[in-house]
Amino acid sequence: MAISQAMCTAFKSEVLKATHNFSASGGNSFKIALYAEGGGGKSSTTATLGAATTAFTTTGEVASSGTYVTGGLALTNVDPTTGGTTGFTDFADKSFTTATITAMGAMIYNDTNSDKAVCVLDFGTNKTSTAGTFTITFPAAAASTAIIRIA
Amino acid sequence: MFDVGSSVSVGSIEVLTTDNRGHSIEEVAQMAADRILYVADEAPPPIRDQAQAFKNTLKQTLIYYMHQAVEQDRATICAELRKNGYSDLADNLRSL
Repeated sequence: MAISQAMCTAFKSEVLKATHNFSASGGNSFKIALYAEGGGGKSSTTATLGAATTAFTTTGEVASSGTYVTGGLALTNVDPTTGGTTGFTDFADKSFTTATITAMGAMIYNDTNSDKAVCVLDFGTNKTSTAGTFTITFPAAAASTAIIRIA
Repeated sequence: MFDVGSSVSVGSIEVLTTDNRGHSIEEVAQMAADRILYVADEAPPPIRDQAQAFKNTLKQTLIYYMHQAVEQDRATICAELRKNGYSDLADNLRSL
């Protein structure tokens, strides 16, 4: 599969080098970009994303539409916290309105630090909005479900 | 020698889409309720059922007040439109 859900391997080492700061106040700016498979991206390019992804790429990214612009949109950080022995962080849900988009996956990356990739999200199937709203809802911010967890 | 085991994981997101419209109040209320209260499938049944019942009540409350918010916002916009001579547009907006 060209898009495989994964925490990027490079991100794991970058966490140990304090490259990423997810704090709501004073933290880095993280963006989410949408990707297509099967030549659905702009210029008919196909995304190949997974654990080996190291940084944001325009290959396979969907075209701008409605409030979605290429390069992705900024996420709203939620302060990292802990639950039991697990540390986790979260983002506010993100919506792109009046958008005609078909996407198979997404990438969260650090816009502050050289566009370094955080994780790749696989939607499982193509998700399409036609002149409508394309919303990404993040999982509950809990130790067993949060979007980014260190157990 | 000591080994410290750890794992870094990514959670599962959900994607919601619409065609030729925005999300309805009910859809947004469901998103809000899901963010406010997470009920684990593996929770003990009595606790899970009680939490689920509370979540349903929460959702209905959110729906009610979101309707109020939309209605009040439209009333404000309609008043502005009328004030600026766009009564027909205001009437159309009120009828939505």
